[in-house]
Amino acid sequence: MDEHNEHRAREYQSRGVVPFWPEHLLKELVVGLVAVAALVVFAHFTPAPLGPPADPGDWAFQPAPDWYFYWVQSFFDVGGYYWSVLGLANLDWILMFAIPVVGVLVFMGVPFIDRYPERRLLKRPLMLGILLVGLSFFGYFTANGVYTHAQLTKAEPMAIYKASCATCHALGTLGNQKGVVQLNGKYIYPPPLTYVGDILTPTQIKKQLLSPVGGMPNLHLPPAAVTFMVRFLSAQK
Amino acid sequence: MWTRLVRWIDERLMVTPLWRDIADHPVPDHVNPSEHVKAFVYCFGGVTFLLIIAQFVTGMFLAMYYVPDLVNSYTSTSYIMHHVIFGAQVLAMHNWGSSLIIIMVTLHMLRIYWMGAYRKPRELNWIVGATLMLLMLGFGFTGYLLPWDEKAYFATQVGVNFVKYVPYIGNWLFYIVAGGSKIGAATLSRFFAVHVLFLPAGLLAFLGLHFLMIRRNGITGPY
Repeated sequence: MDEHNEHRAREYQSRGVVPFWPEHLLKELVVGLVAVAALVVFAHFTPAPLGPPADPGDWAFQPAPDWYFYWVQSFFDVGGYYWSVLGLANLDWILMFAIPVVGVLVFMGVPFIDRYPERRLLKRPLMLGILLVGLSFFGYFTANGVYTHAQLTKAEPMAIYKASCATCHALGTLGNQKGVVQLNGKYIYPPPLTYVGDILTPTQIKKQLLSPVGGMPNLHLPPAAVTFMVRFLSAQK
Repeated sequence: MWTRLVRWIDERLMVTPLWRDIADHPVPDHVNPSEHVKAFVYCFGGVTFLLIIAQFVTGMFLAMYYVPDLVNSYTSTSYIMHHVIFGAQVLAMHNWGSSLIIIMVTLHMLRIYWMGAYRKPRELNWIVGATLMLLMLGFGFTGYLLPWDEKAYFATQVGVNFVKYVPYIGNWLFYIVAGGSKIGAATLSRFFAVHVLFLPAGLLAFLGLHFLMIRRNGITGPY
């Protein structure tokens, strides 16, 4: 260490500061590298999710955004519902454009809203209020979006069953309980699906849906519907 | 050897003062996690920057294999996952890294808000930071479409349809964003361009401003 560095070190020490390099950056880098290491390990055990290829005609797919965008979709879903209940459907640009713009302006304008002389958050009631309102806003709509998506996903197989399967197949007390006359006049008895999960493996169910045998017509279900139905039917035990 | 190399460069470009300016600038020890454990709250911004560098690196390697067209975007993503050596690892890091950045940016922002660190003279830096946050969300949104799987397609359709609600220019704006009247091949290639060229350019510019402003204003506290 030369004279200049020694002098500098003593001066910095008396002021309660450290030089950026190497004292500060190396120590901060340790924290950062822990985060990167966590990412490496997490990525090793959790592959990126890749669904089936995009199929614009897939009517069964329930779109879900990344977790940090759930609140956007959920806010506009819930907001849009109440907006139309209030009879403001013609003014939807207020909900869909003006309110988000105001939100961004408030976010950008935080330093100009905060005029308190104090630093402590408890002594800045307006800022504390904005923070709490914001946190509950994001928290509520994220939870609501996750919940709504789960409900839609849960309801989807039954809707597909009622639309595509119930004409021929029984499921418990639902659907067709009798035989079916085919177009060629033959009378067939489509098996009930009540215990299909005990009889067929998921692979066999998928095969039957995609290339049916035994008089069942090909329903040309989109990939998401097949995924839903395989999971749903395998659980019928 | 090292000294001679630096001297050789210095004779021509005088870089040592620039380096000394960066290396010697004093940092208060209340932000140093090894001095005070609670100073870890000051690390979120730096961690975000390191994760951004990680995203740049993993993204550059992904771009070696990824093909932004209607058929090959999906097959090349699948190829990266199943056939490229370390491909699944790099893709997963890029994918989950975006979530981790959002978390770190949020924590960084909460720290600034909590301490009121955006006060005079740092108002402009808050605005730059807020813009960076929006850029990050833009990265997330455009990157989402690129694998062209079902989730990508339908989530993007929901997202892009929002611009139709902008008064007067909504439909025109949809045309610009989607590259046509529907989500399709043009949307995919322009989202790719935005994700790997436009947004990184904006990100670098605003990060530069962010850091310059921190140097000029210093670090707040201790409180």
